[in-house]
Parts: sequence; structure tokens; C-alpha cells
Amino acid sequence: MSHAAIPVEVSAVEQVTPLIKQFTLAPVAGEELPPFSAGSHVIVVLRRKDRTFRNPYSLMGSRDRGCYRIAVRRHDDGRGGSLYLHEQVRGGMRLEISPPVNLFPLDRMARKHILVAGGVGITPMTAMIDDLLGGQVPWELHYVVRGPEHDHFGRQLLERGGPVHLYYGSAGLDLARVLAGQPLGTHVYTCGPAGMIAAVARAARAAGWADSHIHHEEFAAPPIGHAFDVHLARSNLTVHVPPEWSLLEAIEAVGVRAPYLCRGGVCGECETDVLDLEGELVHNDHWLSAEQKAGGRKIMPCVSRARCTRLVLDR
Amino acid sequence: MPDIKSRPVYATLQPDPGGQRHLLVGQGSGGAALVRLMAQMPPGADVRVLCAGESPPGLEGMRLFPTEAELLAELDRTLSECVMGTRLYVAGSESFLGSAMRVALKYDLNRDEVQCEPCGCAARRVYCIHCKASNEGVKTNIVKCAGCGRHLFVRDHYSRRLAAYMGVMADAEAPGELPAIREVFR
Amino acid sequence: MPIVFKPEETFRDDFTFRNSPEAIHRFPFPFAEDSFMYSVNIEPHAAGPKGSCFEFPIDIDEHYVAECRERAICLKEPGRYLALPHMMPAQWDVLELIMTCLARDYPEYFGLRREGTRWHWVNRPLGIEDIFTFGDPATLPYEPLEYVTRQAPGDWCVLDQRDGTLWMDAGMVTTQADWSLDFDLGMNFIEWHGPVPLAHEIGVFDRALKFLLNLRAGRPVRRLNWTMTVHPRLDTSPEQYPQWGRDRSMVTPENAGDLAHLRVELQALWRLPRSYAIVFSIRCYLISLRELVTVSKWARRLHRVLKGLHPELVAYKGLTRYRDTVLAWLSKYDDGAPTMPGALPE
Repeated sequence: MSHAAIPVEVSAVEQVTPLIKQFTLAPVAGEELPPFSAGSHVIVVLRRKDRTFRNPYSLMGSRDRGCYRIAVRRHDDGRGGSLYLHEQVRGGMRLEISPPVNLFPLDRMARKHILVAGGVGITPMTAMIDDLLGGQVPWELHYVVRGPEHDHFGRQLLERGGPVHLYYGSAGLDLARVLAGQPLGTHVYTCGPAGMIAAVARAARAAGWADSHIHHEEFAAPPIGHAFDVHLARSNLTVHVPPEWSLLEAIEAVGVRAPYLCRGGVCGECETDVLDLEGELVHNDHWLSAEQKAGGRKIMPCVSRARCTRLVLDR
Repeated sequence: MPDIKSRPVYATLQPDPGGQRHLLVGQGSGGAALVRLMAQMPPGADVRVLCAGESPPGLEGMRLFPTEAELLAELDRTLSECVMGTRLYVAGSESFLGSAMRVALKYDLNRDEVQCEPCGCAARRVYCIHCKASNEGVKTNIVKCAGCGRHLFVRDHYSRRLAAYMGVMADAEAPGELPAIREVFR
Repeated sequence: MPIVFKPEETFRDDFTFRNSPEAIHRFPFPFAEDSFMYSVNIEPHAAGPKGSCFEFPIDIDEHYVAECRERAICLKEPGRYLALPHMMPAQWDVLELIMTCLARDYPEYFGLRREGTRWHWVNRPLGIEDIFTFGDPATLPYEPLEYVTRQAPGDWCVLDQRDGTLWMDAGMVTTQADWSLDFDLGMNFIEWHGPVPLAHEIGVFDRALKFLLNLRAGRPVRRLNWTMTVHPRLDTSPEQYPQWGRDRSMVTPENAGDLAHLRVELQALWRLPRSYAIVFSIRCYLISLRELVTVSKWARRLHRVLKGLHPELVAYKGLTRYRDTVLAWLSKYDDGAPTMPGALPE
């Protein structure tokens, strides 16, 4: 692993909604898992027989010190990581996780926080609410789920108290009304489907909010694409990248250690030089500048791909 | 003009179309910048103007304050009632910009919500790092501190928190040996 | 091997600070080559050789008790310890980091027993024993950051990570090389490095910032910084410059060996868990020229580094008045022989 891996044992698995399973990860050999800041995620290593997934999952709030809880939504047409967790991972199994990394923190200078979540996007917010409940800074949570069978986390949060608003379906959530008239220094945080993230950003900008006050948990699963081959110049290896594998995963599968951190195209850590290209790069990241993307000399292998007859990387 | 990395980025004020409400604050010769800005604002824009200074611009709806201190107090009060979507535009001496920014910081107004245009005198507020006194309106490279009497070299290092440049004893290494005193900040 | 503390050592007035032969040998000499320019010289803060100042993440040496006493004197003036209100979670993170490191690495001197949030801390060299509730500032005699850094060597700056950069929002700064916490508090990474010449132009700070934003828990990093100081004076703050500035004019060919000191800062950076802030420690090591030249490799190398130093760096590091005197003094120890690369004594 690119960081110090932490071994964990799955101590509980709960089907909390028809689509979401909650996994409790306990330390192995007694030592407590390190404390973490709200908004953090860990990379979970899932070793299926034929391939290894390294998927990021937000850490949920927990009064259960020493354990982590993650919630995984099942994607039947995804790359297979969530299916593996849902169908193969049981209590007692050992997994490896990275230490927590935070790309979605609460802004400490904010005078108010507005949290907007959809579905399994509630996970980082449950940790944020741990920090905000009983604190001095006002906040609100607006949580959209599909319907009553999906409202497990919503009901839990309502029970804890505080300004929690639960919606069945997004029609009930009037973003313009939520964002209107908020005091200076309010920040809005969105975690949920891409459409929700875009809708909040649109509504905030329409209300005149500046971008520095609009945050979202941005990383997405690496998009599925066309298969292609890549040659790793320093390792002198040619690697095939199947459609549901990311370029980074394919590189790792042949034993080449490439740096990474977020695995979601936002942090810059996996930036790689392109030495030769016949075809085009498919940039799916939020790190490279427009110039860099057009320049064709850099790629973020955690999420980006290529449509090409030749690609040589400096790895 | 030296490239001072600790100083805020100043710019000619421009209407920010992303904002819903615009608060214009001017001091001294900043009034002219506000007049220019007002002319560029789209018709019907929600604009408020607060000013202080000897020859304030004749802007409709403008509220005039007799002193800088009263203007800043009103800015504080106004910001406490403002809502998200507000843009702040400040024009005046660099010292005034710094004072106004200190108020803005209290409300977590970020760099994409505030614009500052320095107008008129480039005299500096100098913070004596030894006795912590603030020396206003400094135009020279060396100033005698009003707090402790030491001669201070006016450095290019700026603190937004203190809204001042650092003043350090100019002859600490060789008492009495001062460089030529020149007017540099006009 | 037990440490022989020298509690009566002073870093002001009569300046009785001296390095034992062991302290000289383990001094973090910063120059691996005969010339110096700024670089992003960050490396993992991994365990170094046994007995070296890099063996443990926080190094306790013979000067520890005296340095803590010196800090307490500095803290009589305001503005040497400051913390903005939103940094309280980070304060507790730093307290936990320092206490756990010291208790683990120096069990003969420090003890930490934790039962839930009830913590029992013992600091034998300073004669401190306190029981407090982790997370409750009212149970400590000072704020957590002040409490623990009064017992930890070197300066400690706590950096909030937000809005794509780092902000210096809290710190204990009493052993600095001419920068002011009072002035720099609230500045971001590029701003507080504003005065450093040349480094901005060669992109050092942009690259360093990018690296630090991705700093991860469990993977601290370190680098060395250096300057020179007249007398073994730890407090060379701008605030106190009227008191120590004069020293720069006092260096003579006769006293240069005793007055002129190489001052090396071992800087370490850790990612903190609860706050996601970064703590940046700046630990000063001082060595007089007379002590330094007992290692002939260091004598030759320092002479050459100072001789070839870029004029802007000479000025920025405050060496202008006494550099020629120091060069003349050191030249006696530089026979022009080639010197092995690397900083360790041969």
C-alpha cells in the first residue's frame, strides 16, 4: 500500500436499507483505531480471487471509540467492489484499510454549516454532526432518501436531535429556500449523487454564494471505459487495462507501486508523466488544469483512461 | 513596486455579476473609485454605499460618516445583518483597506467575496514589533515609534490580522547608525 | 544511556550553554555539500541511528531542562504563545502526540497512563505530575498546547488546512530565528514565507505546499534549516531584537570561535488525527565554531558554504556584519582538501 496499512476485522455487518450495508471495522490485536476528523475516508482493500479493489469509503460518526463504521451502497452495474462487499464480506473476515484521509472537512472559520446529503452520502455527515451537536456554530442537515424503507440513517439522526430535515424524494427539498437568507460565513457541504451536487452548486451560485463556501465530497468511482494497453517505461512492462479496471489498478496488479492518496481524481498524488501517446487521453479527474489536460503530457491514473493505439507512462 | 507575498492582492474594483447584493465602502479618495464602480453596476442592482472622507462622492442613497472609525463600526453592524450572496467592495488608503478587511474577516468573507482598491496615499500603518504600538500614516522608510521611541525600519512584511506592516528597530546592530530617511510611501 | 541534564545552563545573560563531546558528535550538521541553496529538502521523519538526534521523533538531550526554563522566561512576555479559538481540537491532538512520543521513547523520564479520558502524566526531569481529563481544558493549568509545549523542546506551530492552503493559527514560539508569531499568526503558507528571498522564484514553496497538503497520518516528514547566531541565544525573536541585535557587531577575530554559533533547525511535520491540522515543530540546535571545528570535515565544509553563499541569503540570514570575521577564523581550519559528500563526521 502507498500508506501504512491498518489491519481490521469486520466485527458486524448490517443490512440497514435495501441497498445499503453497514460494516463495523474493529482493530486487530487490541490497539484502538486512530481518531479521525469528520469528513475523512479510508481506502479499503478488497482482495477478490481475480483482482484487488481499493475503494474509498467515508467514516461514519461513532461513539464506539476504537472502531470504524462504513456504509456501502450496492451497485449492480458498477465495477464490482460494492458487490464483493455485499455478497462476500462477512463478520470475522480480515481486511486492510489506509489511515484516514480528509478531503471533505468542515471549514473551521464558518459561522454556519449547511449539510446536504443524498442516500449513502449521509455517511460523512454523521461524523460532522458528532462535531456540531452541542457546539457553538449553528448548522442544518437536509437529507434526501428514496422512501421510508431507505430512511434508517435519517431516523437515527432525527432521534439524536438537532436541525435535521428528512425528505422522501428530492422534490420536497427546496434548495433555493434552504440557501436563502443565510448569514455571512455560511458554508454548504453536499455528499450524494452527482446530480444533487450539481443542483446545490447551481442553487448556491444563483443565490450569489461564492465558490469558496460551496463544498462537496467529490471523488467518484473510476469510470468504466474502453479497454486499452499501456507500456510502463521504467518498469519495462506492458499492461492491459480492462474496461472496469482503473489504469492505476492495472499498474498495481503487475506489481508496480505507483503513488496514490484519494483514488478519486482530486488530490494530485498519482500525477504521472505521459512519455508517448498515439490516440487521446480521457481525463476524468478534477486535478489537472485545462492546459495540462489539453497538453497530453500528464494523466491521473486513478480515474483517467485512454483511447489509443499507444500509451507510454513514466512508471 | 516590490512583490510582497504577504500583502493582499489589490485590484481595480469591478462589479461581480455573481453577487446578489453589493456593499460599497469608501474612505478618503476612494470615493472616486466607488463612483466609477457604480456607473458599471447593472441597472436595478441591490447596492448600498457607505462613505467617510472630506470630499465624499455624491452618490444617491449613500450614507456618510464623519470619521473612519464610525464608518468601520457601521460596516461591522451592516455585515452582521448581511446574508450570503453579498459582495464587499472597498476603496481607500491601504490602511483603511486593512481595517475594513479585519472587519470582513470576522464574518468569514473570503477573497472571492471582497475586492480592495488602494486609492490616494500609500502611507502605511506600521506595527512596532517591540512595543506593539501602531504608527499611522507612515510615509518614510524609517519612523520613530510613537510607543517606545525607537527608530523603526518599515518592512515589506504585512499582516492581515493586524492590518499593518512590521516595524523593526533600525539601529539595533549599531545604535545610532540609521540609513538615510526618505519618503517612500506616497 | 542516561542523559546528563544541565539544568543551570543559560541561553542569555552569562550564556553558560556548552555542548558536551556527545552533543557535538550528534549535532545535526546540515551541509552534505560545499555549497548551499534552498530546496524542498523534505524527507521521511524516520528513525535514525541509535544515539543520534534523529533516533526518536522528538529528541530529548542534555539541554532539555535548561531549554524549558529558558522558555518559561520568554513566556513572561505576551505574544510568544498564541492560539486562535478554532484550534482547540488541534491543541489536544498536539498534546497527545507529544505525550505519547515522550512516554514511549524516554520511559525513564516521562510516563503517561490513560484510563479513558482520565490521563496521568509524569515529567520527571521537570518535576511535573498532573492528572487531567483529555478534552477538558479546565482540568489543565494552561491551554493544552501551551501546557504540553512548555515541556517539549523547540517551537511548535499548528497549521489549519483549509481553502487549499495552510494557515498558521496557533503556536508556541520562543526559540525562533527572527520571525514573529504575533505578526505571522493567521497568515497562510505563502504569506508567512513572504520575506524569504529567492525561494519563491524557484518554486520551492509551491511544491512544498502541494506536498504538505497531502501529508498523511503516520508518515511525518522532516527537513533541516540553518542560520548563525551570536552567543548561544535561543530567543532571537524580532521582539527582542533591540537586546540581541547589538551582538552582531561584537564578533572579533579573537572571540569568533566562542561567540559565533551555527544554528540548525530540525523541522518536523505531522498530520494530526482529530483536527486534520498539521503540527510543525522547529527544534534548535546550537554549536559554537570552536566546538564545530573539532570535526574537521564540518570545519572545512562550513567555511566553504559561507564563502560561497548567495549575497541575498547572507543578508536574509543576518550574517552581513560578522561573516568576514567568521570566514577569517574558519579559514585556519580549511586546508582546501576535498571533503566527502554527506553531513556525518568522517
